[in-house]
Amino acid sequence: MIRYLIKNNFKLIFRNKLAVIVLLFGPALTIALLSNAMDSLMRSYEMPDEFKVGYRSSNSVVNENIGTIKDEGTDAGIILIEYPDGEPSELIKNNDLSAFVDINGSDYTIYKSGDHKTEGAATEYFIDKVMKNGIDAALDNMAPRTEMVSDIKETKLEYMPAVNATDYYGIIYIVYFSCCGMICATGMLSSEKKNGIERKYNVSSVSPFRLYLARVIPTLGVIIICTLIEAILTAVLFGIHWGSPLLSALIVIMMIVAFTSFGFMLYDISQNIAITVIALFAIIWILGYLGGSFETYMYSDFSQNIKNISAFYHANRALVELSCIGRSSYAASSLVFSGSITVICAIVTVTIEMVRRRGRN
Amino acid sequence: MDEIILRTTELTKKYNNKAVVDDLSLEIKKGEIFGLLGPNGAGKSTTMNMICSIVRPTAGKVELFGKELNANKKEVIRRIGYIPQDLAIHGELKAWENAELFISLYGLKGNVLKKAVDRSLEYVGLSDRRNEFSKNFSGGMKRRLNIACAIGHEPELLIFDEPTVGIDPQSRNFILEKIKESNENGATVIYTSHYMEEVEAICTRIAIMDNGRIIACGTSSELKRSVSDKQDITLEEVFLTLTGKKLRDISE
Repeated sequence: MIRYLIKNNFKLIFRNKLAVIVLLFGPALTIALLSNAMDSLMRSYEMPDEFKVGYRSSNSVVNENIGTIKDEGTDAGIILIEYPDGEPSELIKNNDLSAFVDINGSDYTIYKSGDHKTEGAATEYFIDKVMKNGIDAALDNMAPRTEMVSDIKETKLEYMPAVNATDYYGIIYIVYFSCCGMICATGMLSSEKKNGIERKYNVSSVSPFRLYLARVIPTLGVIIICTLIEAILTAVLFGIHWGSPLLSALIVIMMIVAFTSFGFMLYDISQNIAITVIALFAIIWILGYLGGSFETYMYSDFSQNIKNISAFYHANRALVELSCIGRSSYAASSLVFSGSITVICAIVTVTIEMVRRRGRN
Repeated sequence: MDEIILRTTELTKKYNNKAVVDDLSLEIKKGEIFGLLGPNGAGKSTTMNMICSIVRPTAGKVELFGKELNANKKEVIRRIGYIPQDLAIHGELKAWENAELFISLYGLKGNVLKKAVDRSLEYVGLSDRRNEFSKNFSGGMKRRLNIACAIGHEPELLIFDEPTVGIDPQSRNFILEKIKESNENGATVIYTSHYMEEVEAICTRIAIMDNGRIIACGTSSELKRSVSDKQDITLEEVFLTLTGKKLRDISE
């Protein structure tokens, strides 16, 4: 019986024209208006063709591969110079280094120069890839560290080429807007609230879980349709390039499902549409801010731990890497992240609704 | 013996330790049109809400069709049609879409649902306006659509909570005629209203509530005889005699 609820809720959402128009054309309009600003922003991160980075490596998994890594670094414009002794900050100052990397075992510390932030970020990205490749190779072969060393020699480093500003911000803004997509459900929810329709649902045999599905499914349907149209529109208008379309679509859809579930959970807790929209937008903005939606995740000043708690960081990084190099080790973490948010929020929402019905005033 | 459709036993609802419905015991027989009268804050709507399982009683129990409501909610709730005081319809849906949505909540689907929608809209005289958005309807048309949404599954017990508030005399007359027609077709009706003449015109038995309790119950003439020997006394005079003339300013 919920198919009729779903069908009519779908109509209610689609008839909230303003919200659908914002969802449909918001990202394209933002990209069009801000394309110059995005270009300038990205250009400010442009680096010299080459820069110097000092390093020190003790008992490290990369010691025996340092030759290969140096070659890869040179290809990426990073000249790696070894300094076995000395204070990193002094070495940076005295030798005009952009950064210094202290590798100890499988851990590493990067010292960045305040005058070369972009180069420091590029170094961090490069070293992160070097270490990850080493660990991935070890896991693939289930081999001890001594064998892992020989695997690194054969692994071509996936150093990401410079990102095109339109691709980066285009992809990120489509994700960002689609995660705010629950706004399209406000018409349906306010109509239910204003007309006391929840009371009629109570005088029926529809369970809280079915009622939850009857609201969430049409909302997701509308957001996914709008996002698909938006992705095609921006690809045609601005030439935004998505890598690995199926995996990219899955990542975006899972983010939509996660943040729509999150929005419905907020609504169920607050029982107020205005509070829900404000809280949802605020939380998405903060997570987007941490996760590279406004300043590229490559060059942001946040620590890796902070970035890691943002679902947007995983999704943005996965989508941008898919666009640039066709693969990303962040795709899996992005899917796990959004899947977990979805399940937790759905359970919380249905539980609250069941408790509320049992203890109804 | 007449079948008892609804029985409440010592039904009580308290908010902040104040009883809004107090120890209310009531029986309604099959085929009755039972009127529930009372001043604002008497506890009529709370009683209705407990009968419909919208509000949980603090104490006491509700039996519908011989079964305890809380234990058999899924089964008995399908046999009730609840027409709330507020218009519970979506303005952004067309008349037939509203009817389809709400009737489907009772498990109807496919052709059965389609026929129920057609029958309900026909019943309330909205067949020719079925494709119009309900936000464009007059107050009376919205009230009629509200009824259509609640009767499509052919309930055995219809609960009307002030269904004629704020509508024109023609629409009011139409609704009252339809309530009588539903009753003639076999439905038992519970009806609350502030309009004494309406209650007197359609109800076979009337209860007057005040301060959460039933203070009088019987047919219209029994109630009149209970307060005066005068032949021309009105139900309104009976009501004012029993509940007093003091204004009741109640916050919702």
